[in-house]
Amino acid sequence: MSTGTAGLTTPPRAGRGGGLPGTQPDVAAVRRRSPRRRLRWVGLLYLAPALAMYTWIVLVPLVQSANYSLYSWDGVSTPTWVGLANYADFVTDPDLRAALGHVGVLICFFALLPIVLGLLTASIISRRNLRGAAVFRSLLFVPQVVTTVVTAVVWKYLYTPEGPINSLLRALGLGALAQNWLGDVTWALPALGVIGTWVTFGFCMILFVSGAQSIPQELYEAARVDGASPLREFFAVTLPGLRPQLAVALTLTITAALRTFDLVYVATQGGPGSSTTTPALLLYRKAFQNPDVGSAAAIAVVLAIACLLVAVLIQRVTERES
Amino acid sequence: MVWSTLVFSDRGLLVPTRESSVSSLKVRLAAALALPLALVATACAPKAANTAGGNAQPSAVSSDVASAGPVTLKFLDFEEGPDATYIKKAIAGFEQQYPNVKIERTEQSFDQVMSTLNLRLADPDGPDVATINNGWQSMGTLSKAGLILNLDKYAELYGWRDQMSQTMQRQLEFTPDGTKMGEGSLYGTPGARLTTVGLYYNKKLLDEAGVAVPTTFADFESALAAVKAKGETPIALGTQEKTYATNPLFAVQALLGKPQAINDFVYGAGGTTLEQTGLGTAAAKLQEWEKAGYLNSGYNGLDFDGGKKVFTDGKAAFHFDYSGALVGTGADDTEFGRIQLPSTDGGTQTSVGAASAVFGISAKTPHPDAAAAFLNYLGSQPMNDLSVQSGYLPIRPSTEAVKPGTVFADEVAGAAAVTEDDGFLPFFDWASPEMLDVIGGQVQLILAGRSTPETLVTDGQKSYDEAAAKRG
Repeated sequence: MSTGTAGLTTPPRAGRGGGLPGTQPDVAAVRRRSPRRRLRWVGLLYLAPALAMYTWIVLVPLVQSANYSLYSWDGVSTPTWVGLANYADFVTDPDLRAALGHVGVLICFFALLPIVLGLLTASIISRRNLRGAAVFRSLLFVPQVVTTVVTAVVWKYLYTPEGPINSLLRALGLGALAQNWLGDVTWALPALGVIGTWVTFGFCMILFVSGAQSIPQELYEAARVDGASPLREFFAVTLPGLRPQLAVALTLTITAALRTFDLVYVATQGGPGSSTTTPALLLYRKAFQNPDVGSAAAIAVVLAIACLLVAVLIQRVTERES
Repeated sequence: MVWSTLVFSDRGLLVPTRESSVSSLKVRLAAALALPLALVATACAPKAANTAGGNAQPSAVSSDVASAGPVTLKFLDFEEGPDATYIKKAIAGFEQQYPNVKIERTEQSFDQVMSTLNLRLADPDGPDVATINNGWQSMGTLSKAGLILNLDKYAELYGWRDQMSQTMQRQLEFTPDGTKMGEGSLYGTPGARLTTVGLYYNKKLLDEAGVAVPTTFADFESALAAVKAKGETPIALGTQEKTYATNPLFAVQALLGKPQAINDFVYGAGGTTLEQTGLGTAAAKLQEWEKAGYLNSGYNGLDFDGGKKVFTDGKAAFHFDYSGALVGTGADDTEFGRIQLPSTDGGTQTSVGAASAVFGISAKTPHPDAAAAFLNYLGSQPMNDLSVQSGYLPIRPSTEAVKPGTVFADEVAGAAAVTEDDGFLPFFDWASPEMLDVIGGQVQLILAGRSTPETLVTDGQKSYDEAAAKRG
């Protein structure tokens, strides 16, 4: 996808043909415009099937959730109107606040780390033709293809006390570093984060490699003629050239971190204690286990708004800079 | 969702003509969407699934199923693995007895069934019969909402209450107004299989440590010390999953706590605090064992089955588990035993124990009589005998032969002793919907030295009080 259609967020102020208040559109102009207007409705018609689908699958449940969030409801009995009380949980419920903190940590592992690593690998790969680069790229992309549940089960095994990771550490004489990764209050969250890094790293790298290929070679040549160091070259040419890809990578990985559920659900159930809970996990627990559909819906609404804000914010920032 | 929003706005959705500014397009689009959304908002206000509430039951009941013509019952259950083999045999037996009834079975994991059951039973095309769970979370919600039938009329018709002990009946009762558990009407039947929480031991390791099979809690603790002194691991656990981290705690609570207080607290009889149930004492005991190095190394990084494997591999002397723990593990059942210890409070035989699955009937079923006949069959004497043949504890006494010297023989003898004293305790987490999560998390933290038994008591009491306040 491209992020180049800057017109959306900053619509042209001038040149609204005939629409300015106080100016009477002349008849000829109206006549001239009418075919275009019809064209617009035809456009809507083309859009209708997709729009209907979108309304049914996304918008209706969204409104429904927003509505549910105003009630205290177990999902089956008579609901009670509670206004915004369910949203107050974000301030008063220590579990929910802790979960938000955990998401902050996960964003580092799901978004920042993979992007830094991805940029690094991409700049290495694209600087010169490495033998077997294609194989390398595919291998790193594989985690993106695997279902999260499978990923979680495999890593759960890798992390077991007598599992491969601890065995490797012991074999290297680093036995002191061996941990009960997912069972340790301190290490469980970073251990989950590493799984996230493993998953999104390949994706970021592929994105950046393909983005780097579209940077004109002349820019690199010019930089080299000017005597730029590889580091300088990276910051002056590669990084600015990858801005659209960075926007996509950030948006997708940050929203993924915000929504983290399956990984945590399979690997730790939010434990030990509540050291790896995420808002989405609490949402599931409240909606299906507790059952407290109202406060689950409140979490869902806040998550949706947060994701939307992240997306819009990133789009704005990258657009302004370009 | 956000992904689609991005594509949506990015592509400019309708390629705007030069005159039509994007913002006016947005306004139109918003206007076009506003009306349907407003309609949706008014139409989708949450509502109760059934206004009958806890009194949902047919006006007339009959045990005459044979003359009802061809009937198909949809049956949703969480019986997996060896349990599924049992339930399939039960269904075959029922269909043979009533050739006009066909059972259409759907099998899913416990978590899957539990997380979707409320919605499925609200659906007129949902299951006719389903496995439900005791406690407020499942049975309490379903009975109050009128999604499962009040079974009082069928219980009278078939004499179900006469087949059950007092403690068993109490586990299946709610008041029709949904405010109390442990009294009122029956909303489920227990089938023919019992699950108890108990203590397994490795015969060889106890021999090597030179200790006899413990008969009291004090014996048990000195056995732990003896095994440890021998350089072996006393207890095998796997506490990485919160749900199952509660298992050893409940087992120890049954021995150290006050049985009466546990019953009163769980059923909300009033006037009993969590403190009085002995849960804190049990947690302190687990903590003490952890500090003494009695637990297998890496227990906090192992899931429940991982902990069990340490035990069945012969690497630990004791292990807390549900009855039937060794069925299907391939372990030699003569190498292990199970101990039923008396309560330290009064000396009666007590154990956490309940029906391994509770069966309920959907309030929306068109065939309540056939469904009730199926429930009756699942709890019948032949089914109790089949339980024993399959290596599971029966709910009613069975005359089926049990091979002596096996783990199963110990399990049967233990359950019989507890039945004798009517000492079965409810699972403690039935007390409030979030109790399992709260306690499981606290067990993990206490063993890690990050929390205290006092905090467990405070947090558990808080969850209990909040849930009670919500019920009104």
